[in-house]
Amino acid sequence: MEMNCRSASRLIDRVVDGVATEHERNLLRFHINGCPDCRRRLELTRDISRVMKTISSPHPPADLESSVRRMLETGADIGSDPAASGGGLRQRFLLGLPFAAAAAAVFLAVSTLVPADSPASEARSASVAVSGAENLKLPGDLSIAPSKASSEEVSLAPLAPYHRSANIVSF
Amino acid sequence: MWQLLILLLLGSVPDDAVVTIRVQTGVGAAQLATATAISPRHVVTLAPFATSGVPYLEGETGVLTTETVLPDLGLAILSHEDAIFETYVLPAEDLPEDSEPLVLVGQGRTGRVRTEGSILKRQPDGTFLLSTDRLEGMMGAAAFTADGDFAGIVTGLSTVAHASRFSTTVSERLVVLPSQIWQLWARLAIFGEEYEGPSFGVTAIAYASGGSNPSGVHLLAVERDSPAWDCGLRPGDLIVFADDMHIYHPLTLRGLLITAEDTLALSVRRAGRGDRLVRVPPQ
Repeated sequence: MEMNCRSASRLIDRVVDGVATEHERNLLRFHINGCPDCRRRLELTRDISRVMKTISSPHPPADLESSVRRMLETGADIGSDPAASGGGLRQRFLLGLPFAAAAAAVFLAVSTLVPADSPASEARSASVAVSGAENLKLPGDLSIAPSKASSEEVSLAPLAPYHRSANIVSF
Repeated sequence: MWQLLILLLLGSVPDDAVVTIRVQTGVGAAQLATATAISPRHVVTLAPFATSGVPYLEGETGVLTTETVLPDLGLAILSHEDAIFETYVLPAEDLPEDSEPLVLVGQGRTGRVRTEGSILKRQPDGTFLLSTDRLEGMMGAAAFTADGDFAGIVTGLSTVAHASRFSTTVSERLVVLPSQIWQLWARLAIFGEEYEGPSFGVTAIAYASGGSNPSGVHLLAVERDSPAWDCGLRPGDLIVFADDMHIYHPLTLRGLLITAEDTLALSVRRAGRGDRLVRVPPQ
């Protein structure tokens, strides 16, 4: 089997995932002996895999259930106005959940490492704007805003639920 | 008390830096949204306003071009081909104080609208919850301190539950993304500073557990023999502070490294080894 960097890349994922055969491991070992780029990629992928396994999801406090019961019995607020109480258990737990999801999402994002300010990411952004303009069939001179037809339905941008993801950045 | 302070200092809030953008979301449909001028040519706004349609500056002064998008923070910087913004504000380098009153300038149906609010709680990811009387038109609103510093952008809504013995009520709070987290990214974008030097050698992700660990920048990988490696940084390290600044996002660290003229002192937590200081010479 002839080995190139593209197929080595696939083998790196299999090796790091622990599903490569002995033959595949030998092929990769042979390739990275003469390919410093793939050797670095193997090291990077192993590091990311190892560190991601150590990132723990937030756990609710051990006394959460008893605290909730106690608060319900006494009528105290759960996750009450933080200015008054310094923040509630339930609120703290709920706030942590998106980050657990973000940590999980990172596994999916590892294979698409793109520096945030890279030309690639900027190109993607630009193409969004351009393709949108084409859909609208604007006049040739894009420096003029489209006329606001009286039939145009204009609304205020709605308030969306807060969501935060976590992107991997290399620099 | 703080309402009085707001009234006294209201004139110092640079409303004119907040502009209206019209986003064509489809044929015959548009949304009015808020953007804030941060240079004579650039505005910062929420990413969905830049990517869900074509953004135009209200007033028929032209189309805005998307310069760069920061997907995980949900921000975008748009530019106009001419220097048309007479009033602009650079995003603040510092976080507002706890309980500091803020003035929000958002978008109403007939023009800019203001409301006041106060910081209720800081969240693990560096954002903070704000109490306000008004919610409509506040998506993407600019948050200013009473003395006019551009403190952040409203990035969404969070619900907070209040439970009592007999009932549970839910209140809605605005979530503000402080400028301190993204201002270096924005400055590098608008000033067009290019970093020609060698890579620092890290792959990182923002980390906010909400648990006992502090929030910070988690290093997923450190390239061997890179500047980061030579400084002693290793995969798994959690960078919490750079000098005295709490670091919530990798691009904040990147911006600091690019702009640093002196040695940076990074406070690093390594699993099983506690906290330590890593000194990074200017790159």
